[in-house]
Amino acid sequence: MKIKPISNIILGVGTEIFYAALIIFVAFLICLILALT
Amino acid sequence: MILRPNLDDLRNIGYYLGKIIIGLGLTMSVPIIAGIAFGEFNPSLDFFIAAEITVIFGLILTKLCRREQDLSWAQGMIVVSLSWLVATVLGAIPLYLSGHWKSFLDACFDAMSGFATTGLTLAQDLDHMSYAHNLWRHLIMFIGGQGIVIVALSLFVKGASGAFKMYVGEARDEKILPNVIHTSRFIWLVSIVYLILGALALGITGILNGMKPLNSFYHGACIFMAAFDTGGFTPQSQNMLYYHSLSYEVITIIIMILGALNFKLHYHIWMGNRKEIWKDIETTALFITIMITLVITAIGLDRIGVYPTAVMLFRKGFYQLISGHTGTGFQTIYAAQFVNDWNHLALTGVICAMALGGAVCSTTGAIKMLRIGVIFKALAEDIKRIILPERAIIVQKFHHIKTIFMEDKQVRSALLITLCYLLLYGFGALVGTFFGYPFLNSLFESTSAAANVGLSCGITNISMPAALKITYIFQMWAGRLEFMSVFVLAGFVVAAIKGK
Repeated sequence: MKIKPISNIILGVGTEIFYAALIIFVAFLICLILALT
Repeated sequence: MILRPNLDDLRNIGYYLGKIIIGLGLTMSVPIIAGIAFGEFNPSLDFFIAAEITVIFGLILTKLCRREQDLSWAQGMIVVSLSWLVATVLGAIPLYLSGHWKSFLDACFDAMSGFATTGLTLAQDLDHMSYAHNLWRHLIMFIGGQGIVIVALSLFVKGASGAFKMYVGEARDEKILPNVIHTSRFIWLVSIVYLILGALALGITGILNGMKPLNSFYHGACIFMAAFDTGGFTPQSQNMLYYHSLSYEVITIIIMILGALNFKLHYHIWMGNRKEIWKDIETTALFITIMITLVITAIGLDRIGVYPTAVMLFRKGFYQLISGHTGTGFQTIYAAQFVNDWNHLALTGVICAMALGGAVCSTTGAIKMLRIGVIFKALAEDIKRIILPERAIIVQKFHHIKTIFMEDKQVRSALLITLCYLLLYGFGALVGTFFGYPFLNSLFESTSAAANVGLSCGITNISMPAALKITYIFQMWAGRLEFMSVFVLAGFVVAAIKGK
């Protein structure tokens, strides 16, 4: 179980956080649209 | 003809069960050390007593049943289902000794809720609980999230064959690495990396919000464990309302989503295959179902105008929804507000989200995204079959780490587990209704327990009937183990009684 290089972990963590951030962004857009209409 | 289990079966099961119990006893050293560090000597003594009982019980089992033979599939499943029950009873001892639980049943309820990463609680005066006991509540959630057996696999079990059978029994049917012990160690690596990052982010946010540094990092670690393991316990009785901070809420949403991802997907992304996150059927299904259930919930809330601004709708509506969908159970509203402020449509949206859950091989419970994806792919295939000419050959495939051609057995398995979950949700709802609670509230609480979520609309409290507490304990246990180990244990008991 060797994960090399360490940059893969950093970029992997970044990708996963970006996915979560995308969900938050779209969810906020839905809330915004519903609140404005 | 059913064969009665023989003494060798019992000894094999007892031996591995003993090892897992010893592992549990050793983890009690963490709150002992924390208690001493915080100057809490009485709470440390509670854990010392409980650890002694646990380790001695485990040692007796391993000595009496000494038999290093590989487990059969059935034995592996029985070890897992029994270990969760025994861990609940032993893990409840220090909780009960603290005096914060009215009865031992209540302490067992919280212990199962912790191990199964549910988050429903019957603790009293939570705000004055010792650091050691609060840490234990969150630690059992962390252990339960990884899997009680995973802890033992990482530490004690050397034979890979028996280990794999227990690993599968704990509702983790996907091996990340060829060796299951390496798989369990990878799961720990992911959890530890995110523990450091998450606790730091929450700790710093807490300090910026005015908390004392030591307290802030303690809360950060506890909240991280509850969020990443999609548990839902919090150190304060007001749950996430205590922090009253948008930044804290956003960080916990990110951690909850990360906890709902498949550990196998984590592995491939961390190995450099980052495009997987956009192609996998589970992440796609998770994204779509979150948005659909959010629209249902938000329309319901919008109709009654209880949260008039977008920020309020996001912080109150979306937060409860994502907390339910990922199976966490953090709340930024009081339990009574679900009943008093929310309408049926909004509640239905959250119930659907709770019933669906996160990815397989993650820390979440419920039906899970892979099964939902497979069922919808199968439905699409059947529709195509009707629309297209009879001679057309339809091949349905999906992407889960690799491209997989869909077979009938995958669809049947997904449908069977989904059916079991729906029956379990319905069973708890009927029991709740029997005790006089409104049906929708009962269904909400039942789904929350069986899907290991932890959101509560107020039914879960110390005054609820003991039979309902036992029902929820059963639901949390069966839901967390995804039924198969529970069915095998039931079959084992029947064989022991009626077998020849």
